[in-house]
Amino acid sequence: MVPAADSFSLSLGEFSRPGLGLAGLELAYDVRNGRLVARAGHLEIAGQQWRDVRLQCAAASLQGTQLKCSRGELSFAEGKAALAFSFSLDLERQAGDIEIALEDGGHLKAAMSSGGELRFLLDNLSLSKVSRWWPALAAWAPTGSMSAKGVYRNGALKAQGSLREAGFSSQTGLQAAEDLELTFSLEARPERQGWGWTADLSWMAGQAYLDPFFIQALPWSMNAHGWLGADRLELTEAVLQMPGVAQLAVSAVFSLGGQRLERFSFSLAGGELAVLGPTWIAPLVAPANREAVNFGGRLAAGLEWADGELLAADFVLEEASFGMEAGAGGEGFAFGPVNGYLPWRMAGEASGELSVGEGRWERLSLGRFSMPVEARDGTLRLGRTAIPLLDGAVVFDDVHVRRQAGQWLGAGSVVIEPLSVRLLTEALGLPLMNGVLAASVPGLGFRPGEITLDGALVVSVFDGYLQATGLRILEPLGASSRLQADVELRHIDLAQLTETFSFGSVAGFVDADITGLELSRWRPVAFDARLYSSPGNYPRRISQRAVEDLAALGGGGAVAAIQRGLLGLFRDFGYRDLALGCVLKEGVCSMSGLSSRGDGSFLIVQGGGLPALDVIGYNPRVDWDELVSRLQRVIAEGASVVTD
Amino acid sequence: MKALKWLSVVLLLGASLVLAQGNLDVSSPAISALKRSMQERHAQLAPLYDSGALGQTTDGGVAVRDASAVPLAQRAQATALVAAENADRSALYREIARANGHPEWEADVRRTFAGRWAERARAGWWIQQDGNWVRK
Repeated sequence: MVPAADSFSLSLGEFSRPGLGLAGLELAYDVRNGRLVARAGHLEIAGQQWRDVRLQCAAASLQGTQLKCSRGELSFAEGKAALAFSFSLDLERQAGDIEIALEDGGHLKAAMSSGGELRFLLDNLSLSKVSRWWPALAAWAPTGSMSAKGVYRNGALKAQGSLREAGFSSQTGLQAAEDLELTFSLEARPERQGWGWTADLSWMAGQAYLDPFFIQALPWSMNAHGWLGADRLELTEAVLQMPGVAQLAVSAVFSLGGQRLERFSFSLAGGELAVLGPTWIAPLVAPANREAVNFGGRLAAGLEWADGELLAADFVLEEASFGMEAGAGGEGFAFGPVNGYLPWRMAGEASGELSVGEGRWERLSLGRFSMPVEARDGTLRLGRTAIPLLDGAVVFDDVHVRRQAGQWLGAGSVVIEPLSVRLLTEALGLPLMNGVLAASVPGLGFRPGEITLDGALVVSVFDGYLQATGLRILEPLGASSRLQADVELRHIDLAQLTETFSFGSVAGFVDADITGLELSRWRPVAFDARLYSSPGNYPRRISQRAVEDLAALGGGGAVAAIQRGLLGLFRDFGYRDLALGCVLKEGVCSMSGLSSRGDGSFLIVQGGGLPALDVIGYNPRVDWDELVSRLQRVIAEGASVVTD
Repeated sequence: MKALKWLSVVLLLGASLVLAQGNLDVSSPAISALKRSMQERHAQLAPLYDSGALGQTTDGGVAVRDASAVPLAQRAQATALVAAENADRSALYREIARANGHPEWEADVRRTFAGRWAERARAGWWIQQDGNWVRK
């Protein structure tokens, strides 16, 4: 029996259950005025804390052992929620019911029986209203509604429910969802000073953007179990069913106190890349061109991540293919079928091998090749990999990459085994040339924004050779992508060169030195070049057409006026020496020749023998684009001819 | 100790003079290519600056401030634009430092440009200051 009194108060001290804590519990009842106040100095649910929580009842009555209340308000230090609630409680039998009408039309009903069983029904709870008094939810701006029903019996909780037209958004909008339709069921029971739980979740409709992934319900379903402690949520295992996946299991640990993901791992089997690739891979490898990337084949994968760092990853590819369509900044590429195993280890080691059936890079076809891979303590090392290209091969050896201070760094060596320049020029759609291309780069290095090639690229062509050294690729993936090199050409047969490019006919040989060559998108933007007759005795003749072409390049008037009349009389002329220099800077070519003539003009070809004529440049500063377009016009006048 | 203090002052002054000699408006083909690329992208970025979805960061970049005005299906495109713009801006700072013959100046160039972007931002655009977003 409860004693009759004008007022009474109870101080209940502390109440604690896993994931639930109440401290400073007080109950005060003013019988005369019918006011009931329940107060908790501190309330904690699943890591979320509230201070000075007050439940005030403006119309309370106590009749016998029946405590009744209506018109209540819930408030706490962090905010206030107006609730119209009523309850009836039999203090002797410890049974009763409570009904709360929420301000948006939703309501909660709960009934407690004397055996300690609690049943509840939550109908149409507005998630945006809940966020007013649940600060952790408020940061995610939830929308939509939730309905649920459940029972708490013998220390265990069972509930099921649904979310309708639900959504959320982080402050930046980079984690957000809309129009979500979800159903769930949940069971929880005390375990290890927390709650052990199992849950089933079905996602039937809606879409989410979890940067950088845009995901649509296809639909998905998940069975999960885990553990909830005072400040820690463990997802021991979640098995997901979704289109394009035979099996996907995820586990994770989330710190409720720190609001951060501590550990995450997943294992995937039988993943269809055509389904998974556009959603999960393209945003990572080609965010700006995700629609242009295509995938095929199957993938199995495992991944372990902790405290912001990837600890281990394993990928098994089966008849996989990857490609990018032409148009997105080039001719595109394609590789496949790809089979094999690719591992990564931050600590420890693992090895695998990938085999690629064939490939295409831009216009070049690549043959079948295998790539041995070894992962050890944060470094990925590629063993000798010979990629067949035309009749030669590009051979990478001991290429290793590692992540250091948030950046990928690498080194290794690459050799181009001799390949036919004829086949190469044919494949690239260039004027056909004969010769052999080879390269040896023992010092291949790459770091953000730069690839260095310490070695030499040698092309034997036109009976001579071209050698490029000091090769450097800057900003390889950016708008300012460019190649730098120093190039020397020796003993280039002008007869073959001019025939190939339909530039009249010139007999003789030239050497050239090009320093500081810089190519941006394969177009020269800077160099200091000088081309000159090779030393030695050999026939030196220049055809009428070549002289005219040279004149055209110079914008006319490039032949000494006094000799102009000779042009129509002879098919070719003798020359003693030739030289042409160009320093390209800021779009302007500053030209020079064998010698300067004082008036700004310069001697390009010095005549010799009979008949002979000089070719003179009158304009020492030429716009480079104009010069190139003139050269293209000159070349376009004749069809390309294959040299022998 | 006093000598060390004076030496530090002289070194700092020297460093300031060296930086003061740098040319932020230096031109090179790479810098021109980057500026062209950024100009072409600006037409797509401007509406996102106007809506407040994006803002200028203190480190001379661009960041997503509040993408909620952008339809969910197009947010990936907006973040790809941000990634591309930041890649170009980083490359631009590297190139300007390189063109000045001092690659080690990259961080100083970045800092100076952060101020420039903030100055040139239109009224209503968002700028990051001391970690907070401020509307210009």
